[in-house]
Formats: sequence, C-alpha cells, structure tokens
Amino acid sequence: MHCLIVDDDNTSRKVIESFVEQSEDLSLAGSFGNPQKALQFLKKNPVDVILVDIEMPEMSGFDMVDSLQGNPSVIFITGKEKYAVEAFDKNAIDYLVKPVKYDRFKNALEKVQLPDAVSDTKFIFVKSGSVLVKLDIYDIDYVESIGDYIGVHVAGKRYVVHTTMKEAEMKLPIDQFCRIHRSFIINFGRIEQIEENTATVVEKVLPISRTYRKNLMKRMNTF
Amino acid sequence: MLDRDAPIFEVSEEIRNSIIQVYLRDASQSIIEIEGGTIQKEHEVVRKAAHKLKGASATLGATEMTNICRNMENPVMQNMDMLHKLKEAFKTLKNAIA
Repeated sequence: MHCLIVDDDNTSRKVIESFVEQSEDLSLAGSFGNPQKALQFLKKNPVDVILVDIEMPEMSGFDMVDSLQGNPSVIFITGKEKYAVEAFDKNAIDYLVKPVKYDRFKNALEKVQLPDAVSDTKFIFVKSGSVLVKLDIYDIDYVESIGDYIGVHVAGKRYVVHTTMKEAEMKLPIDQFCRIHRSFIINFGRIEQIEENTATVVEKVLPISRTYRKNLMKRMNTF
Repeated sequence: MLDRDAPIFEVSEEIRNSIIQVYLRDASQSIIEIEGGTIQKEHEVVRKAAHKLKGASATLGATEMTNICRNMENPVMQNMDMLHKLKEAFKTLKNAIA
C-alpha cells in the first residue's frame, strides 16, 4: 500500500515516516511539509492512503483533501480533537490525535480497504500447475472448498487454487455470486433449479445450508 | 526529561537521535516566532507557532514544553511570563538531550 505523509511539523512527520518504514505492508511514496507541493506530487503519483495534518500554514488539511483528484483513503493526524466531526464528514478513514503511537497508527492503517481489483475487470487469473490461466469471472459455474484450497469450476474443468473461501467470496462480484454453504459459492446465472436444501448448478447438485439459505432466497427473483 | 512512553521511543535509536536534532532546530525557530508574536501581541502568530511546537514536543515526549505550548495557544495565556517559562523549559530540555 503506497502512502503519502503531509505535515508541516518535521518532528511528527519524521516519526510517522519511521512508522511507515516499520510496517511491511506500507511503502512511503512521498512526505511533504507543504500541502500544495503534495498536491503537485499526487498529480503524477497516485497513492492509496494519505496521512495528513489539519492545521498547516499554507493550506489546511481539509482544503487539501477537498482538492484531491482520485479517491485515496484519508487519515487525519492532528493535535486537536475538535476537528473530528468535520474530518469524518470528509469521509476520513480515521482521525489520530498527536502524539500518535505505533499501535494506534497500525490500527488506523488496517482500516484502509484497497479497491477490489476484480471490480474493475471481468477477468481473474488462477494458477493451474505452473501457469496462470485467465478466466472470465462470469464463466465460473461455482467454487468449492477443498481443505486449504478451493476448486474453481468452469465449463466442466476444475482449477485448484491455494486460497480460502472468504478470499474467493471477496474477489467475486457480489451481484453475480452467492455463498450457499461453507463449502460452496455459486454463480446465480448457472442455477438450474433450487429445492429445499439443494441447488442444481450445471447439473451438479450442491447443498444449501440453513445459514446461507435465507440470504439466497432473498436474492432470488421469484414469482 | 523525556517521557519514555512517547512515540519517539518507538523508532530506532539512530532515527531518534536524528529526529531530536530536527526538533531542536525547529523548536528554536518556533520560539523566535512565539517571542515576536507575544511582544507584538499577534495572537494568531503565537497560537500557530505554539500549536506546531506542541505537536512536536508531544511526539518527542517533552511534557513541560507540551504543556506550556498548550497554554500559549490560548490568547489569554500569551504573555511575557509564559514566554519566559517556555524559553527556560527549552533551555533545560536542550541541555538534557542535545
């Protein structure tokens, strides 16, 4: 995750820079004491998250966020609690009051959700043996859990991938796929028939658990 | 002299030492601004400089500096007596950590 720090106080900024370096999942794209220079930088260097102070002489952190292009996540880091309401009105992910400790910093960053890569594309790559196979997401019939792996079923073929059902569920578009059991996610477009506790998907009869049945039925278009 | 629970003690010693040098340099500048603003009775100048120095001091764990700066954000507390306290606190801090 690429981040940018904007704070006119060098001491606080240097400490946050060090926190970023300590965090394996973060990389520092830039660090600025002047918000206008940060905005210039961002025009050519988009980032995932911006850590920004509020009271700065050249431009306030709020004004800077209002001028942002794109949609990076914003975490305000400031010396006063009184701006919190306005900060959250500006869709801040979090609001940190100085002095900021490392645990609190990490906790704030954990709230940042990167845009789902799948939402921008209709393809997904799955590893089959030593090659990556490109699949059209909407061609997936269903996904099954196989221990520490999942099986992705497409046109009678099964691709085995080392991941979890939860990960798979997050990557598949929610409007097209539905969890029906702890071991199965199905493509709505491939459902042929639903009975009391089973769904038939491309001639395969799959179980529907009580936990997921209510949600499935709510989403079905029935007479 | 420094509160060991402060963020500065969560970074490596090498980085901590370099940040302390940055703090001492910037704090001297902020105190000059606070002094000028206090003499000229420019409350907003003093408030902004005190606010910035407060954040830096809190990050460093310089508790007395933090408290004096917090007071000086308030125009009612922007006076020569408070300025004198700030300068004395900085002198003591500098002698201890420089």
